[in-house]
Amino acid sequence: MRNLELYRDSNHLCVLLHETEGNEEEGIHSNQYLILHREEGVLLDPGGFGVMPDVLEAMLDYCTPEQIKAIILSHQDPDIVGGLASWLEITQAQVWISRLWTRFIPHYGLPPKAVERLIAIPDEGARFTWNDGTELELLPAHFLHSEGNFHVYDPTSQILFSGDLGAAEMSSAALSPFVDDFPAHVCQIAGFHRRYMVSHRAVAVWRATLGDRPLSMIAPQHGAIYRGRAITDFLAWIDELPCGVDCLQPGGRFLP
Amino acid sequence: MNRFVPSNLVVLRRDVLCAASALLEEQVRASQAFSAIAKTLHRVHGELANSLAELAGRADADLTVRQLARRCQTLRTTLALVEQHYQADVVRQRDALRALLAAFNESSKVLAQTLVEKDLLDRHRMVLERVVLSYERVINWLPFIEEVLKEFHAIFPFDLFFVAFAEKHGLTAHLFYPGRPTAAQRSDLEPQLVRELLARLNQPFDAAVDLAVHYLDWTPWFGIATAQCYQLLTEKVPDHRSGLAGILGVGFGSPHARVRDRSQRTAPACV
Ligand SMILES: [Fe+2]
Ligand SMILES: [Fe+2]
Repeated sequence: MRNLELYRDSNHLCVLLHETEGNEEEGIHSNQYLILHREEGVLLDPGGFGVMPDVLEAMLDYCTPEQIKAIILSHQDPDIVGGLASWLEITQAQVWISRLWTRFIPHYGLPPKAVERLIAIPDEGARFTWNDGTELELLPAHFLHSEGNFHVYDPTSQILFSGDLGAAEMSSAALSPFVDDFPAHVCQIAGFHRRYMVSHRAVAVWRATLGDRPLSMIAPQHGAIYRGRAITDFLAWIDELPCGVDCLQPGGRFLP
Repeated sequence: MNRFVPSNLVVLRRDVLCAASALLEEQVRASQAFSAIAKTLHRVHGELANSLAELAGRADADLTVRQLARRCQTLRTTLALVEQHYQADVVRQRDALRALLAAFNESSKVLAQTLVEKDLLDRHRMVLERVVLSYERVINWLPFIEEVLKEFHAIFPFDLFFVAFAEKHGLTAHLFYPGRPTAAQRSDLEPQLVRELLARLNQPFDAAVDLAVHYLDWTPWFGIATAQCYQLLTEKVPDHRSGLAGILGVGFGSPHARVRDRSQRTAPACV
């Protein structure tokens, strides 16, 4: 699959950058998103080591590395941060990540002085402001699954970039890029969410944070993107899902 | 890049950009590994050098120990030089790779665009001329043109075809859409197209425009949603053939066109 434009108007573009195909990416397949607003770009969760060449090639269709103003990391996992050093070498971008992880990120190996480009997102979230005053909201989604975890809500496109929430463990090469039939999709996400999402309470708190923001899509970091009816179906499903510590049993077992 | 670019050029572009950025990524990692090893070397070597210096400083130190301490000190300087040299090399190579990526990306885009334009103009000049020559000579001009465009669309799936003539009262323009764009898409595209045509025909920007829109209903509309994505290819109507000052051309969507500030768009490459 090639680049997939999720939203475009005359000033604003959201695109799922060319996903790595099939076995090119070892480990779990991931989605990288570019938001381009006028002449400024933001990269979301740019991916692990080895993913950068494909993502960069796809990104060059839209903008140059100099245009990337920020890289926003939903959390600290290697499939998100593993390739960060190279992005810091080829862009001048600032890197936004939860305050919990700014002191751990350098352990991935960053170029000299790159630490100065890290911006610690406070627990309550933050806003990224484009040059013309338009904003992206960095919404707290702690413990879904990481302790310091953020989603990016783009009010212009009304897309929620949800990190690992909603993620499907699958090779997406042969599958549709969108979830249209949620009941058929549940089997791709149930196991992952039960085990990786920390608790029902974390979900409930995140839902209260999200409030009634209009959603055109939920775009996770792995697997297909939710749209239309699948959005409300997914939210209704996750609202009721026992997960993580709710299911934890002595001996390290989890309730099915 | 757009859907009219030859696929082997798309593949070449992807392969070269991926290979160059993979080199860059490997190099970042290699330089990090080197820095980590160099740091350990400095530390261990520093400890050895200090111990030797301490031994050499004793009154009873023999000549060999003093010589070893001196050589160890020299080695420390050499190590620092090697690392400095390596890191400077890394920076040079990284900058060269970055420049290569930028230059190749830009030139492959220009090449792709040139190929599309050349291909279109070379292969279809005859078709375009038939449109022009028939304008005043064929009585049922519209059905005739629609037939010509049907053939043309099969070879080059344009999103928009137009022919415009400057006449005494202003501009007469015929606009042909394969399929039916929405009213919003039309109101996004057409004002810019008209401005462009007036400019190309040296007409005042507020000249009267007689715009006739035609839909070619034998195909659904596949055009791109916003005017920013459009590229226009225009050809002046040769005066000696028609006796009219005119212009005709095609518009085709390039889905990967940049989101750009309207004020910064450059005519006539984009509508
Ligand atoms: Fe994760
Ligand atoms: Fe992930």
